[in-house]
Amino acid sequence: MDIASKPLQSGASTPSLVRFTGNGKDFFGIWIVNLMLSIVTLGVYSAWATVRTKQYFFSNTHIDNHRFEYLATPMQILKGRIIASILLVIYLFFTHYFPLVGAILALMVTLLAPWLINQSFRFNMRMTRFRNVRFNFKGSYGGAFKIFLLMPLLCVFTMYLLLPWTLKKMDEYLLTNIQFGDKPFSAKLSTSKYLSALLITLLSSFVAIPFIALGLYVAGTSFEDSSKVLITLIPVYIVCMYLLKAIYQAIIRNHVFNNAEIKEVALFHSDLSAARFAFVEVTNILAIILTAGLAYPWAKVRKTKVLADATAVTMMPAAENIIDTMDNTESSLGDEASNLFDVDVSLT
Amino acid sequence: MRVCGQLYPFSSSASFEVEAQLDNGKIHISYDVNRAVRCSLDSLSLSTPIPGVATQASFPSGERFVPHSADFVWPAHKKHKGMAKLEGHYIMIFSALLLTPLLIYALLFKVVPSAAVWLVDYVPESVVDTMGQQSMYLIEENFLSPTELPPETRNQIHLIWDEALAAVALSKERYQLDIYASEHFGANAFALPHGQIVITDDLIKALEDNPNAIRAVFLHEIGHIEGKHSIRLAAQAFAGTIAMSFIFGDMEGILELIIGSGNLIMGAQFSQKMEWEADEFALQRLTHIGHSSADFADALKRLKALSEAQDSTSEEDGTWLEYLSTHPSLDERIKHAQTYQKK
Repeated sequence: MDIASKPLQSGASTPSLVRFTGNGKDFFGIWIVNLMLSIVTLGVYSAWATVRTKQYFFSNTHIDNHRFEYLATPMQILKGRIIASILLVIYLFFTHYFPLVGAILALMVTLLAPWLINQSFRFNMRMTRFRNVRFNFKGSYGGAFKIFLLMPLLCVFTMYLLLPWTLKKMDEYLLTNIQFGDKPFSAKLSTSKYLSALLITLLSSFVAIPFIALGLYVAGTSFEDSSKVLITLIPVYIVCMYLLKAIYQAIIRNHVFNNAEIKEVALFHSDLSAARFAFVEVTNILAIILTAGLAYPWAKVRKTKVLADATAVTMMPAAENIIDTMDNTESSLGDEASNLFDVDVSLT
Repeated sequence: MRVCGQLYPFSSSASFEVEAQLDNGKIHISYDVNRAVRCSLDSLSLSTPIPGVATQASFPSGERFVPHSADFVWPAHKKHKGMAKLEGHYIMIFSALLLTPLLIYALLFKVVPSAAVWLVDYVPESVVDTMGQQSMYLIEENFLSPTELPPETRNQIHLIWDEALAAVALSKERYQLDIYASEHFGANAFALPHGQIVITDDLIKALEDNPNAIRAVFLHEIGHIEGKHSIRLAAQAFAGTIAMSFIFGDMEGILELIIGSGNLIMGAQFSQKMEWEADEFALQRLTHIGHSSADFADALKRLKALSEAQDSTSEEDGTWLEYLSTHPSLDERIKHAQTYQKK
């Protein structure tokens, strides 16, 4: 071993792999019991189910022997769900019974969307803790309005020529507004990478579709009976969507991770193979369809493992000295208003 | 007892590999060079136990301790581990496995439909009117154009309509008939909840020589209104969507799809049931006012012939397929109409 080739300065460390230690058996028990209780309680328990599921996945994800923590309480989730449900009831009531008022409401919901996106992100970041330090999200309404409403609109009017740029801007917005303690994330993403990811996905669809059509033909599907066409085509469509989505996501994930950092704290690495990820996603979805949903816990654990295995993080010495800013500010402010809105107003 | 784990001082990302000492109801951890933390086991606040996850303990002074092993159980949790016990218990998992599909079925096919029926009784008349008028406004703007039938044909149709209304003793104020031309609907008739019935030029042309069949179609549509079918359908979709999103809100896409398709099947079944109810209404009233239930069978046969002709001539015209998909099989309905008198 050549000693000179080893990094000697204290600024550099070796990357450590992300480990996921959950297993399908444990999670199956958690999932099925929580699902049953959610139905029996007409959905009230689903807030507890959400928290337990997230805690299971967060706590089983480790970097350098430190685990992630999910901090939200079931009551926070329940409050958010109740608010979201009431809004949904109002919205559905008007679209079903007063279609004209419903159309106006739809516009209002669109204007509310940037706030909801920020709110949901902020909540989820603040409820995530690693090494005793919480994450935060600093997005503003104006920023989200520009990125999630104006730019997609611009995309439509330019025949989607601006799509790669828009997708890049969205990821950049979400990522660079995250903070770990008091340290912000930064990212240098490239539009051309998004363009090539989109083109590769498009090309894959040209290859995949004839294959699937051929497969269906060989399998002897008859296209005469309209009801049978739908029964075969819907699963085929779902599988195709998962395949293409997986290819795109793998390419973009690698690009985003490899170009993101928390200055002087951490570097991120991802080498997820698009082919492998697509294979995992497609076989997962097939297993879920064939078992009428029962394979879901196994599939979710399998996917999380694959993602963890492809990810590494280089922790730098400064990672030892980050202060959790939120513990202090929150206890000193103790603001009622911020408590009221400290809920994830979403049903998912 | 000694437990290995990780210690995090208050509010900082620093961490220490430590060995906790648990003796006589107290916990003691030394860390760093010469720092230490101790308290009684009772004053620790423990995270909720989850199968396969190590339970973390927080000290009153803010330090946090995470044991390395997920199998370690804190003395306070020895007696009751809460939900984690159920989630790891084979009998519980097995019974949940059996019960969950049954519960989903009961929810989709029993609870939601009866909630919809219950909701319908509470929908005020004014809401029904607004709902009908607004829907009609949107339909008229998008899919309907003024009728191209000659005035004498129109008068004749209105005459049949007035007769039919009088025969079943329904007021002309509550019910209203309109004739429109529509490429979108083809030969069709539909009813709006506030008592408006629309019949298209194409359907009139198809049944022109058989006024009895037209009357039967009218009675079928009136049956939809009398049974408050559109409101029930809306209430059903409404209750279904709420139940789905609240109870299964946390699921990822595909599971929603599986359960959503259950919801869709329920909806289709529900609308088929309504067609049967409207048929039943038409047949019952027809025989009641001294006409033959065969009139309705005639109308259906004519529709069937028309749809077959359209299917073979133009493949791309999907309007008929669409119309029939939410309706029971025409053959069954014809048979039912023909054999109705035997009852």
